[in-house]
Amino acid sequence: MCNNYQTYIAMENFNHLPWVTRYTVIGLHYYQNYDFRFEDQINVMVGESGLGKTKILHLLYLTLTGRWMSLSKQMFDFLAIGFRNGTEIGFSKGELEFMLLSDPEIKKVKAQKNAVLNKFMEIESIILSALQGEVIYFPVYRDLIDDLGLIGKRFDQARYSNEFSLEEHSEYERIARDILIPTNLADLFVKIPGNFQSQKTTILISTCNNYLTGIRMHHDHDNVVRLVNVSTDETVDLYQLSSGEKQIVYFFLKVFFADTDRVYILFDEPELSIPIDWQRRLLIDLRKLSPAVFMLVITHSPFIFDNDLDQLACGINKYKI
Amino acid sequence: MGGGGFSSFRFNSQDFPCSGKQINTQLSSPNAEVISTLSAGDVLNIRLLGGKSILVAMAGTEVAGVIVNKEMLKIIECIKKGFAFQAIVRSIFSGRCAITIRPT
Repeated sequence: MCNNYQTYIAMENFNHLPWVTRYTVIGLHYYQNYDFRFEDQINVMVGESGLGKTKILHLLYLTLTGRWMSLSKQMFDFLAIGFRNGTEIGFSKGELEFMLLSDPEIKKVKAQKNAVLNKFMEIESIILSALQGEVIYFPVYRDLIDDLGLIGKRFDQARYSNEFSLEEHSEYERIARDILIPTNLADLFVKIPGNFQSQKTTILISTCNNYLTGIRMHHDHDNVVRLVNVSTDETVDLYQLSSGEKQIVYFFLKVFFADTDRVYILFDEPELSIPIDWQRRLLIDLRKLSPAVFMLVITHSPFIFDNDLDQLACGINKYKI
Repeated sequence: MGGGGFSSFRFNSQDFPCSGKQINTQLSSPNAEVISTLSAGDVLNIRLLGGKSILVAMAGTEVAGVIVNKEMLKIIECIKKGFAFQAIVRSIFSGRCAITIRPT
C-alpha cells in the first residue's frame, strides 16, 4: 500500500487482502534486489525503464505457474514468495538448475538431488494450495493475430521437425495455454459453456460494448457470443477491429474464461495500443469481471491509475533493497 | 498452478574447463552464524566435505554453506583432478548469500 487505501476498501466493501503478500527477488540480473510487500488486491507499479519491471513480473509468472525450465534461463540469485495463508516458498537459481539437471553422473550426488527434488515438489504443493486459482499473464508482446498464427505454425513445425525437445514443447504449450484464450479468436465466435454464470456473461457483454465503436458484442439465444456490425448486423471478424479493440476483447475474454473466480492477473504495460480514456477504465472493469482478483500491474502510463486506483500506484524504487 | 512438472536438461561436460571459468551461484543451507560475519567481496574457499561429493564454501575453518548447482559435478571432478576454486561473495541479503566461483 503506497497511501491510505481505507477509503477505497470501504467503498468496495470487499475482502481487499492480497493472495500474494510478499515477493522477493535477490540478484535480478545479478545486481538488483527487490522486496515487494502487497497489502492490497490491486498493485500498480510504475518506474522508469531499466529497473527490471518486466523481468520482475515475468519471474513471478514463471514461479507461480511452475515453469521451472524457463525460469532456470533467467538471471537471478534467489526468489521468495509469501502467501496470504501464511505459507512461503524460496529457492536459489542454483537449486533450480540442479533440480533440472539430467546427467549420468548425478548418482554420485543422489542424496542432494533427492533433497532438491523434494524441495521443489513441496514448493509446487505450497503454491497450489495457496493460490487455488488461475494465473493470467498479459505480457508486453501480444500482437494477437500474429501470435496466434506464429504459435500454431511453430507447434506444427516443431511436431514434424523435432525442432523442440519434448520438455521445450511441453513448456511452450503450457505458456501458450496461459496466454491464449480458448476460442478461435480469428472468428470471434465464442461458445459460452452452459455452466457459466449468466451474470458474468452479462458483465462481459456490457463491459466490452462500452469500449467498442460501431461494433457490438452480441449474445445469441444459442449462447454464442459474437461481434456484429451495428449498421449492417453482419458478423465482424478480428481483422475489422482496431488494435486497441483487439486488446480489450482479448483481456476481457481471457479473464472471463478463467476456470475459477480467483484470478491472478500479471499485467505488463496494459496501456499499449489503447487510448487514454480506455486506460482509465481498464483495470476497474477487469475487476468487475473477477472481483476476487489479485492484480500486479506494471505501467509507464499515469492514466492506468487515473481513477479509484490512484492511491495504489507505487514507484518500484520503493521496493528496492 | 498450471502443472509445471520437472523437466530436465543435460549439462555438456565438454563445455566445462577446469580453469578460466567463472560461475555465478548461491549458497544453499547457509550457516547463519558464519554468513552474518561475511560481506560482499569476501573470499571463501571451495572444498569437498570429507572427501565426499558435497561441495562447500568455507570461511576460514567454518562451513558457510553448501554449493548446489548444475555445474557442481564438474567442479567436483576438477577438484579431484587437483584444481582449486574460491568463491567471492557478491551479495548478502537476509541470510542469503550469492557468490561467484572461480579457479584460483
